[in-house]
Amino acid sequence: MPVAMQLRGLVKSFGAKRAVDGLDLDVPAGCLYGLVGPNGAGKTTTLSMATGLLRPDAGTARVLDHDVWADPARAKALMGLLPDGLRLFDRLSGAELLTYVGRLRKVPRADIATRSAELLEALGLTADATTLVADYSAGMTKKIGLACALIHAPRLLVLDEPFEAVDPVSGEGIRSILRRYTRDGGTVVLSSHVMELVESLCDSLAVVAQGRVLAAGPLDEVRAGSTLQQRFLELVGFHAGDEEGLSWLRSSSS
Amino acid sequence: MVALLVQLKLTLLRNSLRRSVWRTIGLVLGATYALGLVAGAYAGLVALRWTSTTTTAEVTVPVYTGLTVGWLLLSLLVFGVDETVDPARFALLPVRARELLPGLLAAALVGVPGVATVLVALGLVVTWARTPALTVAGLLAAVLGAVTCVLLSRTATSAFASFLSSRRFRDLAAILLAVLGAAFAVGTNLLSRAAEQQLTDPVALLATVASVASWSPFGWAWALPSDVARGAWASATLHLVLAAALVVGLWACWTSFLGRRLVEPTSAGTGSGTVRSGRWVERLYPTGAAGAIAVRARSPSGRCATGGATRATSPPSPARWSARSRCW
Repeated sequence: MPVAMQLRGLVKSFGAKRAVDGLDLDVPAGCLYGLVGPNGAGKTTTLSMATGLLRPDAGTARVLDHDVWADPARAKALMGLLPDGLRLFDRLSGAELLTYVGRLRKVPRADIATRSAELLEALGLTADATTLVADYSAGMTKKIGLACALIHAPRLLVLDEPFEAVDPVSGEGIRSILRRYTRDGGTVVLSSHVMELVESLCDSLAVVAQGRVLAAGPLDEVRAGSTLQQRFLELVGFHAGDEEGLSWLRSSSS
Repeated sequence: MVALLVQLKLTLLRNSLRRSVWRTIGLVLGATYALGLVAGAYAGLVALRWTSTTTTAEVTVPVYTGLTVGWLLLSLLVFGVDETVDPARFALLPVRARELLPGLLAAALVGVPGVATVLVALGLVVTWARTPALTVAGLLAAVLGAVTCVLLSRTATSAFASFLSSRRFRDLAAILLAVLGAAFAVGTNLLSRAAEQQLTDPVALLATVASVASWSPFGWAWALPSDVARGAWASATLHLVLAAALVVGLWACWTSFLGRRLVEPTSAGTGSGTVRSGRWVERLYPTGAAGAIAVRARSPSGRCATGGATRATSPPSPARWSARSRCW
């Protein structure tokens, strides 16, 4: 199976802290790949380095057979990106933003019109198409970001926490878009720390902690008969039952 | 790409106007004010046509040099990073710095200060169009000078992008501006008093100032017509080469900063609750210390009543992907 994203020995340090520590990852083409890990595991840093938004200290990142850091602009043309808390031109309306992103990505004008109408419809943003993105809620900002990532019909989508702040209805809308997208041959890499979500959506996943991959592969292989939540806690070494601390939090009867 | 970015800037401006009636009022007031300044400048420039070329040179070179210095200082101290077309926002797109640059340059000229500067720069042609050679020199100086203004301010703000948006700098900038304004006020006061009381040949002083200004990087371009008028061809050539080299150098620097920002988008002023000041509404104020003080004076915190709405209301988007790229 061809590989859509291949990371080898990625390293990134912030001061003394090693956020990503020799990370290897292979994402097969045409799958919905989840990147799970606790807060501060290095998921965001990894995805930034894989998408030309943060230069790694060491290691290589290849997407769709292109070395990302040999030509970041070329690699970005192949991907659709949704970073968490992304910066958009928030003084544009949703429809204007999609149009400008499409034009900056050199999508033909006619395609931009049809695609943006369809995307706004699918994400339930049609009614707010003329509202400025600055006035959008967090969930709507996420959705318009996803629409921007899809406007040029990329073969690879990289989404950082795509479901954060998104309501359940829109969340389902996004899921069905992503499922259809992978069914049609696209590849999605998404990060999340919601195990249930990854379990229900992704075909394969990697568990990341302390900047390394602890386990990776198809969903069933990784969870090995247990639930993903359970397996995840085992992998990252969570010690349950430690209820001695925080005793002051216990609500008193008085 | 140039047309697209200019269009983007215009759309952004239009939307921000639509969002707040105060900004529309601010723009109208600012445009009127700028128009007044430009008209005043033109009146002076036309009047200079009746004076000698020496006088024209001694007046225009220091004034235009001041314009360039003003662009640099004010963009660093007051405007910070122009977020209308903030380079970091292109980080997700497959665009290269060298593709983006001409468009960003053109977009930077869109707006009241940009248009006013271009008009004032072209006024140089009006005053110098006395012989064909002088007309050409004036036009060259106007183009090089105006481009230098924008490139200088963009390069400087890109170079210090993350520094400029830090709260500490914003506080420092307020103090620097106050000091600058005070120095300006005291300086003009002293000068005018010296001129009134002693009448110690202010013309000679002006000549010295003009000559110093013409050999500072800010005045290289503007000094071109005065060299031609004097028939100082060697000096003219040198000024032309230096001015062109400055443009090329700044262009290269900006491209490099921009390129870096596209792959490591340092998030401007995230998290720390940066006090953001209005962008172009502030630009409506005159390019000079008085204008800077006027802008600051609208609010002690640096967040002004009308312009503050520009940035204050923009949600602090703590771009996590980019926030990580800052070093700590």
